[in-house]
Amino acid sequence: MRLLSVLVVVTATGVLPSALFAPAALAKPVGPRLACAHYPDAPMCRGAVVACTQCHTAPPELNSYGSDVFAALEAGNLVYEDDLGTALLNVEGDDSDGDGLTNLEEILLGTRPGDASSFFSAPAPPSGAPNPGFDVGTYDEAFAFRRLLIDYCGRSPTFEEREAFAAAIDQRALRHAALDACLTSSYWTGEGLPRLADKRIRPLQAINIDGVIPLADYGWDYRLFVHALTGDRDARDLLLATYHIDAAGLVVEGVITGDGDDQVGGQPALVDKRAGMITTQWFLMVHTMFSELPRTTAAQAYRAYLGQDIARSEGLLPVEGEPKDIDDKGVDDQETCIYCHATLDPLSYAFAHYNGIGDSGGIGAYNANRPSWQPSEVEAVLLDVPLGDTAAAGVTQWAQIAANSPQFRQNLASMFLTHALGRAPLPDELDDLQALAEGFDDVDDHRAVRLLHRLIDTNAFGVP
Amino acid sequence: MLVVALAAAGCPELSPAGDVDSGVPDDVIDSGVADEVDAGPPPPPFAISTRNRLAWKRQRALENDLLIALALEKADLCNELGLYSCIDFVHLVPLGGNEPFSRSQYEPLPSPTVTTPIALDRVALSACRARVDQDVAGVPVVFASLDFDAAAVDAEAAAAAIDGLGKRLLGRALTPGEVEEFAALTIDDDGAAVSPRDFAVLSCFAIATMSETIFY
Repeated sequence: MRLLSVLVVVTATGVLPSALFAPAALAKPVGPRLACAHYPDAPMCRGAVVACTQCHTAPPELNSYGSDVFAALEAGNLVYEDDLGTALLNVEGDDSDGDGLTNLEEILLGTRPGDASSFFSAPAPPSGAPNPGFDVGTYDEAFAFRRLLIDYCGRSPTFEEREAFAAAIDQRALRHAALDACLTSSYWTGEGLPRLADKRIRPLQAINIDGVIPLADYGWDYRLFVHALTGDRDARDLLLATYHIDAAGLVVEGVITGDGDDQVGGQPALVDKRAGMITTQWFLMVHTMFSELPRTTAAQAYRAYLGQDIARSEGLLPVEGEPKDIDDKGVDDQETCIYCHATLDPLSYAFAHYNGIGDSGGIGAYNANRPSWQPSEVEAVLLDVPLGDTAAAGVTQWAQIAANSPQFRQNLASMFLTHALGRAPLPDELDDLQALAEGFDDVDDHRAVRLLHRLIDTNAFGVP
Repeated sequence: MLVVALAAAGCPELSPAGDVDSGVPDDVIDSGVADEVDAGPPPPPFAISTRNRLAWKRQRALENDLLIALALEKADLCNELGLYSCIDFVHLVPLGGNEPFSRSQYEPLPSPTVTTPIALDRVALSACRARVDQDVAGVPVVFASLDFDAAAVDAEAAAAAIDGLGKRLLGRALTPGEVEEFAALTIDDDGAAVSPRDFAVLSCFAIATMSETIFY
């Protein structure tokens, strides 16, 4: 209908509507930050800054919502940086994408107001005589018991286990005891958690230690991932661990030597320059490779552990004066590259002090003199926080800020809830997600196991 | 104005009813199905979930459930050419798994594919046949109520076998209606008796491939 309207206007006037073909200068890298200042409690801003796709199909092209916001700016003769909030307010009552929900309703629900395929209507309460199999619409202990065994033990409860559960006086206690057992099971530690690690580690057998071109050993990465997320351990060790876990499951401190000059299969990074999963030999080898400024490495760290995928226009917090294009790759184009690189390049500087492939000292080793530029020429920044002397500290400060950020806990809670449900949480489940994320520091004391115990008590998990 | 705009955009002309005109009179088009609308089964006489949020039970839980329910070893399940596990390799992806190391599949599919039912059928059938073969050859573990040397299955034995399968494969007692439905497998479409062996395989397969088996 919207396209038809545009066609009608074109036919009648011969003039292209400016809102449809918005100029590139309209795309503002500061937009996500401004939008979240206006809607700080909206789901899109919880543990994140809103993605550019809120207003854009792909920056700088605007979607229907972005077009309406732009039109509101123009109509009110408003200044983007100063008055975006007013423009957002002015279109709250509109339904830009025509999906039946106003823009404000979508923002509060967590759906996208510029995407007609993104909408939500809460399910009606169940009605009728009691269901003989499930407590539909309310927390169902037996349903949750079955779900947790499948999710964390990799199997369904047997008939006998179901009968025993049904007869239990304290079903909640039995359910949590079952979870404890599952979280130490070979399924969870050997398959459940490793599959959650896959997209964070991105293994490739051909260049693994036993591959045709051995360059590193991702076994270290999988073991550290599982170790940090099991037992009574601080999950922030995903980014803060200075140790590794050997094949026998034992903690190994200190430099781990590998084969040859490249130290293949070892962990050559100095202990005080380690930052858990993001300074392993595999991570630095497979992402940095031959890059002097390892943007891919930083982007993967940002994506995997903070849930911010720059390739999807997420987590853009541009730094003024960036990108400097310090490695002369032509990323300082103000019309295009700036949208991502003003955030990405400052994220990446700290990683430039670690070897990729082919640098002397071994793959993944810390190397303060690796980049050709002087440390004073750049300033590393993560989540608006300057990182100081990265030539001396490596990415340890990067990791400290990241591990204690709302993004980290939101990403961890989201990873586990998405896994448990088999899909991303829906709008009426976002409060559960938020509670899980917010309780990670104080309630869970940063323990993933404790977060999972809270997770199986949520309505998102236990209401059929 | 709308028609002018559509014509300018090269859109087909709308029929008076607003539908796209196929150029063929409606009474010439044979949809191939009867006109009656199939409303499906009647709604149950009790409250049902309105959330519609079932999760897909992935390959490892499916495998473990079959192994536990039918008291089998991993090697008893479907193996392509006797070499490649159907669950770990051949049908890994449609059964909900991912292979990150050599195929760079870092995440599983979000929902079942068109081949998921086929893969499920194959794995479940292999499991059921393995169980029946072992029960026929040795001391019966699952089908103790059946006389595999008999020409047919008597009703009592069939009900006992079905009840046992329900408890093993679904973790619950089947309803009388379900037992009755599965008991119909003792007779084929021509009204002839089905052999106890075939009944055992078919009833096991039917229960192991219920939607309840793969969604939770």
